[in-house]
Amino acid sequence: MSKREGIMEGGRMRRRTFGASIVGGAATLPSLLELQARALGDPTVTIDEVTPSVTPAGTLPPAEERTVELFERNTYSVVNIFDVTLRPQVNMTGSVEVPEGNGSGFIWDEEGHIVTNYHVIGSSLARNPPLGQVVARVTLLGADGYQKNFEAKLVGADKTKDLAVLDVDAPVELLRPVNLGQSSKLRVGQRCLAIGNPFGFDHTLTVGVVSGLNRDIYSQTGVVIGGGIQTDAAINPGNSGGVLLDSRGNLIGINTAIFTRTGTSAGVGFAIPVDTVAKLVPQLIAYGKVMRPGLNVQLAPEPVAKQLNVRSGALVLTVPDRSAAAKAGLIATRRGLAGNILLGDIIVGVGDTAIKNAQELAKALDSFQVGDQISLKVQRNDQIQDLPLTLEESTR
Amino acid sequence: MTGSVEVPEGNGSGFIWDEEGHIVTNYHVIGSSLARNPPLGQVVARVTLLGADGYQKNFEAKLVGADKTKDLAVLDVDAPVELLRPVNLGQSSKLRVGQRCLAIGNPFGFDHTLTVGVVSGLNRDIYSQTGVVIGGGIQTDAAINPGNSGGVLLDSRGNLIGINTAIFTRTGTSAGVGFAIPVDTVAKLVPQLIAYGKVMRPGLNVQLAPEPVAKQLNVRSGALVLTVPDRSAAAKAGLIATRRGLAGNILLGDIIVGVGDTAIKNAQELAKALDSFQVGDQISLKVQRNDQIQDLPLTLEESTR
Repeated sequence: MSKREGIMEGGRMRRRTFGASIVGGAATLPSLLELQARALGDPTVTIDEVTPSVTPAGTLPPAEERTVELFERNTYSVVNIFDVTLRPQVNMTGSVEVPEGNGSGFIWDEEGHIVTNYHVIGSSLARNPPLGQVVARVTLLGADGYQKNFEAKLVGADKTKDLAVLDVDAPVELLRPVNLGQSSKLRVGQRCLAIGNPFGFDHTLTVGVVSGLNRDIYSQTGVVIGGGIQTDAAINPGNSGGVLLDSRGNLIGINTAIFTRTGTSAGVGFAIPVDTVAKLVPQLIAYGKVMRPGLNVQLAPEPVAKQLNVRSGALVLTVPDRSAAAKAGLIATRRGLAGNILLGDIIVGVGDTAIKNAQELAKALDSFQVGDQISLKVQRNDQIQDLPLTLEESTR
Repeated sequence: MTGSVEVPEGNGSGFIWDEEGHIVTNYHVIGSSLARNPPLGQVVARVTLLGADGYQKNFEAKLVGADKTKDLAVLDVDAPVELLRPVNLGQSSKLRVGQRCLAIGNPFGFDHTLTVGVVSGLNRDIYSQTGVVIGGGIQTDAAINPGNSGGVLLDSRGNLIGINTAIFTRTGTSAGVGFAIPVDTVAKLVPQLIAYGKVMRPGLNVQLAPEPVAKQLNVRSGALVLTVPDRSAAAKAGLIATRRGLAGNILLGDIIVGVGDTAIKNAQELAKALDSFQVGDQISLKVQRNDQIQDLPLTLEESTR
């Protein structure tokens, strides 16, 4: 310990006495007066005397070093997206809110494709811009630490799955694509890292775990995005479209929604799994839209089905001519000669999956692709039949 | 309902700086007391120290010094030395995004609460209550709530890296976006607060044109000097004020466009640039005079504001 020699004012006795009491045992407890702040009204106190020593920062433990390196490597892949027509909103009801505002996105490839959520540029997209039109401004982070701004053109968008792909004309050294991971192999409890721009604080890292899997995310159209990854990493407005990485730095999801009563993070965030993204983004790039497989038949809404006494399954109302469904022999609802209603086929299953309503049918078809052959289980005249059918592109 | 950087109030936290009994906290934690302009040495708060036996002991705390601009305050308690365990200071300049950090404080009155997260971002601007920006803020996703203010942010070695000061929130509670004043700033200012009761802020002590005035005078970039006090460091350096010409027209004074290598676009940037210096430092002020850029060497004096 250091003793301060030559300092014998009353106020400093305490320090010397402390030192002395350890060494010589000849301690006397300092009086209350001497314990008072030395500096108050004491002009002889120098800055040096009241500056404690600083512990130099050492090396980080390996786990922290890995996280730090992961961030340093992947932050360049995350971009800031501005839709200038957008105004941030706060939803006051508790609901799965899809955060808006300054959004995030990430670099998909070295061609300049940027992937983000549809709703991040929803305001621009609501005006139905043609493909190739400038819909946003994107900011890329360069290795020199400077942000560079680019116009972004629309390549493709899918409102149902809340995805959009943009294109920027940027030099290749600014384009560091993310590595794709596999969401099918995820397990609850895995560490995950979110990088995005919450509240406009660009390139923010938040960390948490996979809280749950296979959650239903309710997209803005009311259609359910299945297989959602739930995380407790802080996700806030502005994180949308940003990356969710595993501890190896591979993309496992796109942060898309949060459950909140306040508009800000409550530790319940949702990401679209990378397996879905990896299936849809190439379609958006190639075709500008997602080739969603569908039956293209009109199904009975729930009140109508109830009235017609159809309790379970999806009742087919109409079947368009020359559709895949027509070719497969699917029968529509029609009037009989006496004017009575003859029920059409009731779809009760797709392959091995049982179907209870139209929503479940949509979800089941979603795991297929256009051109796939499926086996539709239908109830016709109180008998279950199997109808093989080749899926075509949904016209909706 | 707009989101804003909110500086939480209420039960606050602080930490022990040294074995003299100095306690460091945020200005706003005792802001209500400090608003009455108490003299140094007056009792402004009560501080509770946790003893090794697990019992909390209450003490009166006297004001040692405070700086509203940087949201810092130093108190002093007459406590036995065995209750005074100072923190170890770390180095915020070496921080990296992704490092683990631990926050200890008293959110909502739950004393000695530990929350854990990572460094989410660095060099963030924290808007203190006076509207002045505290630069270099550490952003963390550790849960910081009202009551955490003034408490410690530690790295995984247990060294102080920041003082938890503000949160970005639409609700008043944590959204996973918290801000801490970096320890390098704290280590520079707290000794001044202890020794002088205030921070010796370096300044030019000149009056700069407010933005509307500058616009009207067609000054688009830089800080226009309106007046220069006699015998100030700025006057000695030869800084020229705005004045009226013989014909009654306005003759623009010097426009400060840089400090050393840092370009200055407005008065706020000038304040931020000067902040990294100390009283007595010699700086090179870049001024625009009659459409020419000149370098004016100047020794910084203490700001009178």
